[in-house]
Amino acid sequence: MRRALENKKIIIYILLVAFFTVSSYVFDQTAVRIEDSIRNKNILIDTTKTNLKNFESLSSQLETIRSDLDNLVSLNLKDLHFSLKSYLLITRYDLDSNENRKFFKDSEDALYQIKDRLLSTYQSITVQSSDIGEKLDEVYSWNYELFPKYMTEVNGEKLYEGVYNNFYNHEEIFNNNLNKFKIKNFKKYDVDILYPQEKRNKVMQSFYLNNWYDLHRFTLLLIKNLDDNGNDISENELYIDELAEKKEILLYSEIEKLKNISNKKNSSILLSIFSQILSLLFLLMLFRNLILNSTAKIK
Amino acid sequence: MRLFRFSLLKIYFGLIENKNKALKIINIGIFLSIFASTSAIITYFIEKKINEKEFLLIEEQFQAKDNSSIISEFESIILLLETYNRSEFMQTENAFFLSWTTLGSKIISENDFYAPIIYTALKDTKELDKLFELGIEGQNFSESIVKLIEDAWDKDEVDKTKEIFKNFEKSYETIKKIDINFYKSKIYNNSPELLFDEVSSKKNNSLDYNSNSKIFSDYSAVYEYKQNTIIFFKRLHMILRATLAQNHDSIKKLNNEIIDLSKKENRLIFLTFIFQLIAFMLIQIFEISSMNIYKKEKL
Repeated sequence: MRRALENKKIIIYILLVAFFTVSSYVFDQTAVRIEDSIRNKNILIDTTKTNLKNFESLSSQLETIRSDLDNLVSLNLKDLHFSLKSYLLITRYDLDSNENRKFFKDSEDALYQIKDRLLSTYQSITVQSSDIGEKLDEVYSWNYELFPKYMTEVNGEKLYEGVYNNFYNHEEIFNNNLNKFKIKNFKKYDVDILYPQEKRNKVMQSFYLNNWYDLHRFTLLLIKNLDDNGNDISENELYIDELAEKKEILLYSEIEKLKNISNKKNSSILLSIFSQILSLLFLLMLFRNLILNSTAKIK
Repeated sequence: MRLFRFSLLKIYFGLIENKNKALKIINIGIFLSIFASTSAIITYFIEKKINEKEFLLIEEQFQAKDNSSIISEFESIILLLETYNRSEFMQTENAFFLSWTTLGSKIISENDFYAPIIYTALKDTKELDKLFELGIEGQNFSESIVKLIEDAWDKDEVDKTKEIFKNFEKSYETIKKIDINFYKSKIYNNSPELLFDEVSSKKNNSLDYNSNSKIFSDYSAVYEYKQNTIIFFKRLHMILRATLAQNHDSIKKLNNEIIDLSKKENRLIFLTFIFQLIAFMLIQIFEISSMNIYKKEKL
């Protein structure tokens, strides 16, 4: 009866040693597998961080361009009417032109400068619009996958179409607002009239009040077009900010997951060590039991 | 093979002469194993704590990085706003000076000068709506920020912050009531004919510091709003700097805590290893001895 009990004890110890040896192996393997997951999570976190940085940089680039555009719109609008009003005041008899001319040292030169300023404002807004369009194309073309609306399909192949035409579409703007012009001929107001200098001088001599009215109106329409396109940039900025926000949420959630996985890994490693110790402990207890049994037999 | 070795062990323990000595050694081994398991449990909890602190550190580092980039963004915004305001102030001064002359008063009207300033300022406020949506737990943005500094800052500074926020919100609410579309239409639907009417009109609509017109009142509201915006952003910048300093303090504290816990853990792991090694060696002594007896019997 006593021997059967002792044997039972020995079997229990052997089973415990076996159990903890196996569990040590299982925990060890689990730690190895978790290590793989941690590696994958780290790769995902690094990729998310890179994406987030890209979005932030993209948003900042768009913000700079939009801020530049807003500044251009504001500056051009503030000065826009000065030249035309000055022109009216020194050319229109009904506006006391003779009296007004007396304010200038050389009224003819002043008139020349005013006309040149009217042309320069038109030229300036054209160049600035074109610059903004180019800057945006530079940004969008490098990130075309984020802006599918600027892509076009040619022979089944998707190509970047760009936004430049939205900023440099003088003829379209002119034709869409034809009713606002006195002389409904775009060629009269095409940018070509500004170059070379001889052509420009000729324009200054040949343009009459209605032409200057039209050119002023056209400049205002170009500023409006620039302003309207600013809204598109703001929308894209908002879209990129939303993507960045999503990436940031993803990043924090992945870090949280990594935290849990890392906890599991540490637990597995420590449980493996703990199992090894317990396995050794029960082995020692088994030895102790064997010695005690042999002592009992002798007695 | 295992069974074979186990029977050898049984024989060996039966043959041991000084069984008490053997039992003592085994007991020491058991004691060491138990000690090692205790160390493993302690290590498990310390490692868990370290892991949590490590992730808190990562979060704190992320926040510090975010705050740092927001601070530099704020610095650029403040610099930009101050530059714009300074340049606008100079332009306004020049425009006022010009408007004091007979010709100048006809060239520059309130509509020409103020409408673009009001329009562009109102356009920018759309972004601020997003800022005010950023409230936490039912509190609006300002309340959340004030709560953040309430316990850490002097009462005077907290009161000053509250006042700055109140002034900003008040001026923001005032300009929000201004109809942006009214000014947009005023700017872009302005025709040369209307300009002619304006110039020919006997009514004085030139720039005047004492003007009672609606547009001057709106411009004054916008001017006040712009000044308050700079003060508001400067205060937010100050708060962010304080938050960043707090982040750095937390990072330092967490680093020290991790180092301390790491040291503790290292010591315990070392002890665990030593005890495991001793326990293992004790088992090995018995195994080797049992093998030797088996060999002697064979000979």
